[in-house]
Amino acid sequence: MVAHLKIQRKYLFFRKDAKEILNQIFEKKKIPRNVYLDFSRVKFFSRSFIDELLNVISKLKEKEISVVIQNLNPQLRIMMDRVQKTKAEIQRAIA
Amino acid sequence: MFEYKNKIVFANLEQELNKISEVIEELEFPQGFLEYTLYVISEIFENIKVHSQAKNILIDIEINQKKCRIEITDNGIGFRESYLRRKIYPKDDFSAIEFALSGLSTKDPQERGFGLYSIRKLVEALGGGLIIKTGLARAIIKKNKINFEKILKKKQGVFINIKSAIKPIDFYKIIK
Repeated sequence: MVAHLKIQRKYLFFRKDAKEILNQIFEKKKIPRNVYLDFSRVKFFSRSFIDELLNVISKLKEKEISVVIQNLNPQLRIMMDRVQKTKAEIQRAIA
Repeated sequence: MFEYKNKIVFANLEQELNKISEVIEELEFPQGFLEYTLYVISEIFENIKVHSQAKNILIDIEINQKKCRIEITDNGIGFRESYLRRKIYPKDDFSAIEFALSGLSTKDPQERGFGLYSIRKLVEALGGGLIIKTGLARAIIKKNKINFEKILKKKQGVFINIKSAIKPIDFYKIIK
């Protein structure tokens, strides 16, 4: 089952915002296996927001739910990639 | 250009940030400066939400043609107490500020918090200054140097003052 979620907000600042987005997935009667998050309306997100979103995506992956981020503006994509890279470096350092 | 001063209760933090963002978005900034402003305010708010246990927050923002000043004060538990409650032991308020600026997070032992760390990088890239007060410590960060001073009257919570010129900044390159 596939779910498409369009993020309606322009700004995403808080860790709570990330958790709320993903909570919407579990509100559905049937939990989807593939989730597409449409960021076309989002103008800015904070480092905290995207850090938390990546945490949640990683936890969902363990439950075999895949989340795909779509229509992210290129600069926000850079921010997300950097945060992802830093998280991977920290995990490697801890291991 | 833009002046905003308000004392808000903790529960309204998110709502207030959305209001501030809507207004700031309308201002004409050089490249990257809008992102800088939103980032700084939102990361400080996030820290307050997650770590401070504050009841009230005082926000004072002044943006004119040339300069930007952001001052945010909370009446919470302060950096050191926040670390101590998570079993991280800065020896004093000075160490607690150093921990916070280095990205040591109280969220999870396997995570780092880049909020203040990134804010410092951004402010330095703009040639600006950052003042942090908590407990008995004051840190003044300017021109890639940090000076610590002991303050006589204990500061409840955290006070952060950020001043910078308004100029282009390669925001997405600097952010970690």
